[in-house]
Amino acid sequence: MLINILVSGVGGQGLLTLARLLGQAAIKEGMKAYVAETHGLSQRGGSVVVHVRIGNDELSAPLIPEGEVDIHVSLELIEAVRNISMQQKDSILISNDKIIRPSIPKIVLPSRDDLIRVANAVKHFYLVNASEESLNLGNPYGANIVLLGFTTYILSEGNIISKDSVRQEVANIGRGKVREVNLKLFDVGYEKASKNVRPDTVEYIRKKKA
Amino acid sequence: MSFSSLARLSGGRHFLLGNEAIARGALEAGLGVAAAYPGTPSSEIVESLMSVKDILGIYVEWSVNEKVAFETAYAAAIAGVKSLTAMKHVGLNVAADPFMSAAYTGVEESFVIVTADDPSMHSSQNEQDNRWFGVHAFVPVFEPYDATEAKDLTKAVFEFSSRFKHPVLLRTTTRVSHTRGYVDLGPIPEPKVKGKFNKEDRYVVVPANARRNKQRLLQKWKEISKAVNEFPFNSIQGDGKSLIVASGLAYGYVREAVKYLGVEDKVKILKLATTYPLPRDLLLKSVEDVENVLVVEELDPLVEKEVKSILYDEGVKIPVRGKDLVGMEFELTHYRVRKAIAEFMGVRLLSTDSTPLTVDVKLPPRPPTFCPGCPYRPFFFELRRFLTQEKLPYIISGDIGCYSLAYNPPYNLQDVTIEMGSSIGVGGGLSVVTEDVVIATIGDSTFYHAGLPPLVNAVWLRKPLITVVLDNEVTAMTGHQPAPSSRRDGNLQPILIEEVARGIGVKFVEVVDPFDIKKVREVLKKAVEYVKTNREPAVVVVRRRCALEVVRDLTRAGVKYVTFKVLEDKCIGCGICYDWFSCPAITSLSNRKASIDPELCVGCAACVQVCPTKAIVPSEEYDQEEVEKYWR
Ligand code: SF4
Ligand code: SF4
Repeated sequence: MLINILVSGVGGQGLLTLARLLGQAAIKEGMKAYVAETHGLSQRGGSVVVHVRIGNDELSAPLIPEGEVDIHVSLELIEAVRNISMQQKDSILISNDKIIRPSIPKIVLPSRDDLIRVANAVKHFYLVNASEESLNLGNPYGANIVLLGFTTYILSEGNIISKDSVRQEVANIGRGKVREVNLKLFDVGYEKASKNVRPDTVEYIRKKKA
Repeated sequence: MSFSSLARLSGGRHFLLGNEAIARGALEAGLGVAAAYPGTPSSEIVESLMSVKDILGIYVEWSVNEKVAFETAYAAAIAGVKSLTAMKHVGLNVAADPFMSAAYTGVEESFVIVTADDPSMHSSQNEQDNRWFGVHAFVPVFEPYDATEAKDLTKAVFEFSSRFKHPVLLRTTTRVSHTRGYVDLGPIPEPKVKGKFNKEDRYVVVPANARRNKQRLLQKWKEISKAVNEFPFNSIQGDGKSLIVASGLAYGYVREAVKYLGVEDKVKILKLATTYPLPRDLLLKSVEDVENVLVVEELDPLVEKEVKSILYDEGVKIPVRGKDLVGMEFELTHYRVRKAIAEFMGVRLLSTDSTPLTVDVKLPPRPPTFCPGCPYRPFFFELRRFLTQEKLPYIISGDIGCYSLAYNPPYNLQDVTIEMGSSIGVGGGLSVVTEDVVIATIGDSTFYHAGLPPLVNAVWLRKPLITVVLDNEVTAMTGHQPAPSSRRDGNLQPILIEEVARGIGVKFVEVVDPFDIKKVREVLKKAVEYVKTNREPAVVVVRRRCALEVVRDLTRAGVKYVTFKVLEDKCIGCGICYDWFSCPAITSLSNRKASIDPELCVGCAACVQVCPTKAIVPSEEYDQEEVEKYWR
């Protein structure tokens, strides 16, 4: 068994947390996992990718081979499209419905419609309004946890990691109000997935497990 | 779980970064002293140790640079206390002087030097392969391949160092340092933190002693070369007529690639954790009945050259491939390793049954940039305007730190940046050989790291150089380690840059808040005139705290801060705030008017003064005075 999850987005959007919680949950369930993080320079608002690999003992290298991403979770639409070449048509793309303008003078941004059109070429594409949901819950920085909840649904239905394991990891960060909001964000994402994710997407992951 | 919460645990499986695993291994080996200057990708090693120093009673310091850190840890080791220093690859250039001597003198207790190399230069100016330092200095080199191994290997190299009373070099690369993997914790013994220095001639490297040291060193080297054959982290795996030698991280890629290519039954793998000296006997054993050899390693062909040299010595005539198939530059990838092995084994590398996804929209690049609220942004914004409006011929001599990002548009304010502290040294040189206004820009931490000697040089030799010290009171890029300039670091007294400048004889010294852009302009103007008239250095200290630190402190203290917004009817769509001031939180709407993203804005208020129509205002009321306290 080997699941390759690519997390992409803009430095500062909480990619590392999302990735680490997934890896941690996998370890707790007795699997082997790697999370290859990005630190330093590029974290300052640049394009960032984090590689998450979950598997058994045969797993021994940190990066995901080119084109072998099973689930691509993106915190931002431009970055989702930028990294789409890491996956195949028949794979999963979960993207936050959010565009962040690169801070470059006179830049021309691609339209949201165009980006979505490209993303739609991925068979299992899900656009999630994670930033909006997060703002609605009074936390502008929680899109990552909403997407974590969404991804967890697919992983747990696909019998990779259980919902409880990941939720427990979310519960372990922060206390009191922070913890409460995080769990809510996670549940919102999970709920959304349970309503929107198609059976063939779950089937795709189940096959990977086998 | 944070690293510090594991300090009291002596078992269990946890998910640690490679760097955290190294720190844990050091603790389990009985580490007493650690010292470092931060640098990506090495920083989390000593950061982790710092987080447990009070719990375990060990001594840990952030030193002003790698040389001093090295000397601090070396001192502990010659006084019988197990020690570690960690640095990024280029940091070892700074510490090269004591590094060479340390091998000559040897030590009394474990002395582990971690070098974190950065293939592909994710955060660095070059991708030098520091294993050569081991060759250069007669220091054995060890390489783990993942976090799990890193913990145990670190523990083992402490023992190795102790056994030979010799420094050892533990080399990681970015993907080892910054990849998390599982780590099984072991017990941490009661650390020994106080030692006794036995005075011996070997520690005074006057020529007579140095000559004896060299002879002793060569003798010791023979023993070390023998011992690596028994080192448990090296192994021969599988069997076949072809041998693949893989060191460090390369082992992980090779292991996956031979399976992917279906050649598992045809190859033997020599997994190496000791890359220099090479375990000679083990290598010879592994080439028995072998027809060809492929060496896979990250960056330079160090192992490859060693393998060739040993086989030549022994008269073993089989072809040895390596960099000709794998390639020299940048970090390893699955594709590179698969392709090299496929060619080596004469099998076809099938392209994955892929249906490529076409991207027919043009994507804008997204280089890293100053964070929202960064104190450097208004400074560089104003410097850009000043230089352009005054039509000054200028050279900006830059340096290493967050402010290196001023290289990117719209500022374009770094013309030469080569290494830590170079801004003042190179800037001083340029001020002598050109007629341009030369401005050195350097951060506070970098200033104390390597900026002081060149500034003294510039003052002494009266160089017409303007030095701007961007003082955000912290080593920001590497994760906010304290610097001598930090005013909020417990009981330590800050060393103010303006006082240092005055102390060494700089006559023009000004301190300015970058959020006051009018004042920034005034001071720049004055400095340019001063240097022109007096032909001697001027120093400008630009001081305001790093925004990430401020936001962290505001959040911890529960102080309410607000995001800002643009009044649409007042905005004339001039674009100054998003195109030229360029805060990432400000975007342009389709009608060119500005809009602020609440997900990104940290409410620093810097943009308020750049807007010509005063269209930017707080989104709700807040205690401005209280919030401002945290920013300064
Ligand atoms: S207040 Fe203005 S400059 Fe500061 S973070 Fe918000 S948008 Fe950026
Ligand atoms: S600077 Fe002011 S007027 Fe110009 S685009 Fe920004 S908000 Fe609008």
